[in-house]
Amino acid sequence: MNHGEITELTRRQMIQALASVGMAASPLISPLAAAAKIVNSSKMVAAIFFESYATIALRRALRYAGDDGFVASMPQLLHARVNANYDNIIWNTWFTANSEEDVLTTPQGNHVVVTVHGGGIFAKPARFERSLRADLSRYNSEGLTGQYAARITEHEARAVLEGRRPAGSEIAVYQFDEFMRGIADLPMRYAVVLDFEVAKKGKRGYESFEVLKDDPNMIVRAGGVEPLAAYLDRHETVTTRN
Amino acid sequence: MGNSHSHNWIDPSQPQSRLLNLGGNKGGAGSEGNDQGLGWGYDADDGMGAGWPAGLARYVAVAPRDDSTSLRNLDFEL
Repeated sequence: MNHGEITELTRRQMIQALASVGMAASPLISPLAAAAKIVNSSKMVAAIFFESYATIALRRALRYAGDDGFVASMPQLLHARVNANYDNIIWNTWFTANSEEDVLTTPQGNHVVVTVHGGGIFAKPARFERSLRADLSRYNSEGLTGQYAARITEHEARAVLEGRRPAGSEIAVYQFDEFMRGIADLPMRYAVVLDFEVAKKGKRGYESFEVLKDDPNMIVRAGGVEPLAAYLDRHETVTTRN
Repeated sequence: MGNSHSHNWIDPSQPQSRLLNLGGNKGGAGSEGNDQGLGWGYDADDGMGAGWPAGLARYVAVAPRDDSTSLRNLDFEL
């Protein structure tokens, strides 16, 4: 979507745009035209939020994003890399994605890995904070595991499987097989359920690009077969120039 | 290129979560693997992994901004 070319506005957008600059109706220009001018003058601008304390980084990023923006998920970060020059900072430092991998058990007793892109259980700084400052007792359901992951509650796990976000909104949940076939009009926020045993057999360490293209963990993390292939192809192009 | 997951050594009956992270180090060109010709390192550092950020985090946020209010595109050269 090119936000620099918005031509049609809803009434809500019009009111928000006018309110953002404190503009009232003028006899010289219609409210709709004034709002369109304001909205059309803005475009989507990215900013990096790096902090030595993760909660603060997330809080600042969410504040910047506001209601009309977003904090980039893994597929969005990869998409940016695919379209960026290799000298761009997007290629040359590490990033935390607004994506999470939840390991949980379904009501049928199957272990699965649910990857949520665009904010899941840890979409809000307050939940983040509870884990970062958790009592590390093994009996604390919100502490850390021995392998240094954040513990999540059964209630949170069930909500993720049902596509319910802590903020109250809902997201689409796709099974891996369905996701592999491709989803038309994939939303910005969604979850993918992958069988734990399949995820466990996924490649670890350094592999060739061709092998990685078929890896289930990579496919889910990248947001699909095609986005992963695009990223790996682009990566190969930019790095083999050295 | 590197890919990392910890599914081999975790207890899946314990509900748990990790954040995804994306490596980035000039394609691994500066890592010791590249320097020593070990066959790893080069291309290694732009891979994906998952972990729990104890401290450092680097997010990218995207939002609509009005270019005319930014310094970024102003001309300061005399």
